[in-house]
Amino acid sequence: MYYDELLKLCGYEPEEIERERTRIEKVFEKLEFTPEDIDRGEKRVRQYFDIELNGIRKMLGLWVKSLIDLVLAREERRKIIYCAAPPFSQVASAMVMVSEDIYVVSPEVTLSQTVGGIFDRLNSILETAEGDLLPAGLAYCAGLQTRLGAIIKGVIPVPDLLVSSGFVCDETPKLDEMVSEMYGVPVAYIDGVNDAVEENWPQISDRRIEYLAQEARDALAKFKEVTGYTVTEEVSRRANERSADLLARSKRVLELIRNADPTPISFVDIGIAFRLATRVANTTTVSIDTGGMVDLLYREIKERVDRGEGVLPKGAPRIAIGLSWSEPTSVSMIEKAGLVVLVDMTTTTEVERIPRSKYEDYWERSSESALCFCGIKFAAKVKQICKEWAVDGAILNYPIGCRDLCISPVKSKEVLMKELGIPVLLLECDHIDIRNYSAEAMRNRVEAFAEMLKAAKAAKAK
Amino acid sequence: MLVAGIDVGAATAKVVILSDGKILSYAIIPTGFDVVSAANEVTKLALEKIDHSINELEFIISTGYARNAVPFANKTLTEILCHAKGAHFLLPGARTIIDIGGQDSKVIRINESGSVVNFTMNDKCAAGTGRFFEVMAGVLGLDISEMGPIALNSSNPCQISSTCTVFAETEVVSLRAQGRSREDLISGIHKAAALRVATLGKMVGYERQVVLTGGVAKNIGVKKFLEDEIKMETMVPEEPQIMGALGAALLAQAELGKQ
Repeated sequence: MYYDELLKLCGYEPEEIERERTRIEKVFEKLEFTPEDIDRGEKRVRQYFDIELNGIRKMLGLWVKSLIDLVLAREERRKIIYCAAPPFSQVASAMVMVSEDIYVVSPEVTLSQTVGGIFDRLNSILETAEGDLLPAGLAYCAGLQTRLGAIIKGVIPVPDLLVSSGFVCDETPKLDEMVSEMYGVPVAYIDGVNDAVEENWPQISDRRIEYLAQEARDALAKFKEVTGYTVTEEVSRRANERSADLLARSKRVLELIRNADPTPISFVDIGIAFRLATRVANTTTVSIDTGGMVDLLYREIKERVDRGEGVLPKGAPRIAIGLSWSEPTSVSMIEKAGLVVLVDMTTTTEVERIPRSKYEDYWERSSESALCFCGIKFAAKVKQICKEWAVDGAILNYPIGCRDLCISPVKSKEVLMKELGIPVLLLECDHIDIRNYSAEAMRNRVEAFAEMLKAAKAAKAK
Repeated sequence: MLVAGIDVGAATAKVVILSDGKILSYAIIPTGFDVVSAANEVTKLALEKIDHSINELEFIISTGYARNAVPFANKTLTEILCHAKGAHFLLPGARTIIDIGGQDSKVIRINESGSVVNFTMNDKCAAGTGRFFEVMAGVLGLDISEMGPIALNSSNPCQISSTCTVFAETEVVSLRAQGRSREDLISGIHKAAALRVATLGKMVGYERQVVLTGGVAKNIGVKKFLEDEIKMETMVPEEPQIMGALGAALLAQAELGKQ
């Protein structure tokens, strides 16, 4: 069929395609994908992703599978829970572990990565949301527009429960409240306050931790009310161990890249791999061996490193970026300008830096960890990462539609420049909605920044 | 040794022909729709002035928004690097360059050797760019070159939004209907644009000498209001519009020296 080649590029085995054909076609039909869309997807996969690596192919495939699972979740008779992104991930991963009937997802993450990142077809979903509750031009979150637009279009099912979180973003619970009114879906709110004092990071006040922990327990009580399943502490711990294992394996890949020069792989690939392992696999694809895929990728990258092969010249300036884009063109543009994207402040986690918790209760410990990382552009955290990864510069973006991310980059820039003395480029662009930036204007800034870093590095070398 | 720098910007295409560090010729034309034609035409024009042909150019660097579309360029560089190079060549004491072009405005910080150490640019908004003045001149039925001198003749500039060209346009229409004088309106427009650019530059800071480049630098109203905002004197090179092309030509010369 016209889509077989694309699926093969995404690591599907021929027999798997045959087995899944009915489901695949149902999903493509629902998404109104034409052969031209599939063709575009194939071209984009070849252009932006490192399909020489089986690990990347398999991970792309897992994204496609998670899209299929999402679109068909209702007709496959699963209990569907939509969690806010960025979610209080411990709650989501615990919920999914209680039964195979439970399907937990942040649909905007899956949709933006696949319908957007692979097929470049997200606009019609965004426009649907803009035609309803979230009009264009009012700086609404593109992630939330994606979720709402997909529900309204009937691309993804109306969930059985919404798990909403307001401690990072106030827009999410507000939208969930509206969706609840429109479709009669119950909402479990996990409330909290993101008002940490920067100097104290990563210390979090007891009051905030205990409050958030109780909110998590309340959300699980609501989950039981809706699904009939109880999330025990044992299940929660098991889920957490699984997530921690995936994170540890992923960090091994990042460490390998950190110490390699030339850099062996594009950050476009690392971005999709890490987001898969840390945000999707722990909820939607429990039965698939994602850890094995991460290990495969590690081995393949290691081989490249051992051979001294790289995707950019040796000695190229190394930078940190402030946000991964589900849309591959932006990171690709940065790399084309000759900059190695070494680390994303949102894909690295400083688990070892969490103070040893005085709490014994599982949810209090989890809350402490969640609060520690919720302000993902925290100037203190950004500074620490840039220092540890010894980068030559940083590119931070401030998406105007993101409550959490649109303010802190300016402060982070100031901190990085004054305290670490590294140049920082601020970009006004969205991490999901590609209509929100002009490619040429961005290229101009990125290339100028690259020229500046290269000149500075050359001067230093002299 | 003849080299050229071509700056194909959003509003105008500029070229500078250089020989041994001396400007032999330059030309400026509107970019128009066809950027390739503009690049060809402006180069031809500058070469005709000195009776040379394009084949005699030993190295060409293109810059500006359409830099990648110049088919005969040997290399492309961004205008940030080129403006820095050009301004530093003419004014070696320059440490801050404010470049206000047709589509964007930038503030560039350079060190004593003319290397860029930091820069900031406006993002998607046209406020504080040449386009802002074009729109306002259109609303007021003036030629853009008339606006600067008029802006200096007001003691009570209107308060106009500095955040958006479209909003500012409707504000100007409304203020005109209220009977505010032409001088107050135009002065307010300049003040708003200057505030926008001055605020943008705070991201990188200002250090003396401050040099104004780009077409808008010719506007004495912008110069005055910018100086008021940043509380520093600014310098304007004789032909501020060709700074990017000059920088590109200087870098072309350096490239040739490497070979």
